[in-house]
Amino acid sequence: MNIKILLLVVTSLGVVFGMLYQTVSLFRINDSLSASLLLIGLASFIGLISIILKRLFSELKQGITFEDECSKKIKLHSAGTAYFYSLFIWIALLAFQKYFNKDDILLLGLIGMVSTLLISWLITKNKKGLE
Amino acid sequence: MKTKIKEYRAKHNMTQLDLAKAVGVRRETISFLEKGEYNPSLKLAVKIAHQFHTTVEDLFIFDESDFQ
Repeated sequence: MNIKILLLVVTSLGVVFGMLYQTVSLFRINDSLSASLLLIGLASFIGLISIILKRLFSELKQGITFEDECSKKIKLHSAGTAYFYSLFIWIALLAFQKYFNKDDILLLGLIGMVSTLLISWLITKNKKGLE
Repeated sequence: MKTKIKEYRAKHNMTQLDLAKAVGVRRETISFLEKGEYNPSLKLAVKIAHQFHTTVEDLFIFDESDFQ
C-alpha cells in the first residue's frame, strides 16, 4: 500500500476517534448543541473520507499514481491561499471573542480553516493557466 | 498555450488514461493539458513528447500572449 494512503487512513481514524471522544464528552456535560454540531461534522468527515479512499483504492488497483506534479501544485497553491484567509478568520474571531466561549472559538476557527482550504482547493483546481 | 496532445493521442490510439499511466501522471492532468489549462514542467513535457516520438516545440504551441 502507498505510504501516503496509509498515512491518510491512520490520520482519518485518529480524527474520527478524537471527534467521537469529544462528542461523547460534550454529551456527558449536557452541551447538546456543540455535541450535535460535532456529530454533523463527524458524519460529513466520514462521508468525505470514504469517497476519497474508495476512489484512491480503485485508482491504485488500476496503477494510476496517487499524486503528480499538477495535484501537488494545486495542493500547494490552495494551502497558501487558505493560510492567508485563515489568518483573517482568526483575527475576526478574536475581535468577537467576548460573545463566544473558548471552545466555540476554537471549533469555529477550525471549521473556518477547513472550509477555507476546501473552497481554495476548488477554486485553484478550476483555475486556468496554473504554473 | 495550445497543445497537440489530443491529436497525437488519437493518432496513437491512446486514451487519456493510457497516456497518463505511460508518463506517470493522473488522468486529470492530461485533461488539463489538452484544454491548455495547465503549463507542465519541462520534465513532463519532454516525457509526453518522447511518448509520441516528437519534440516539445511540436507538441506545445505558444503565442506572444503566453510570454507577457
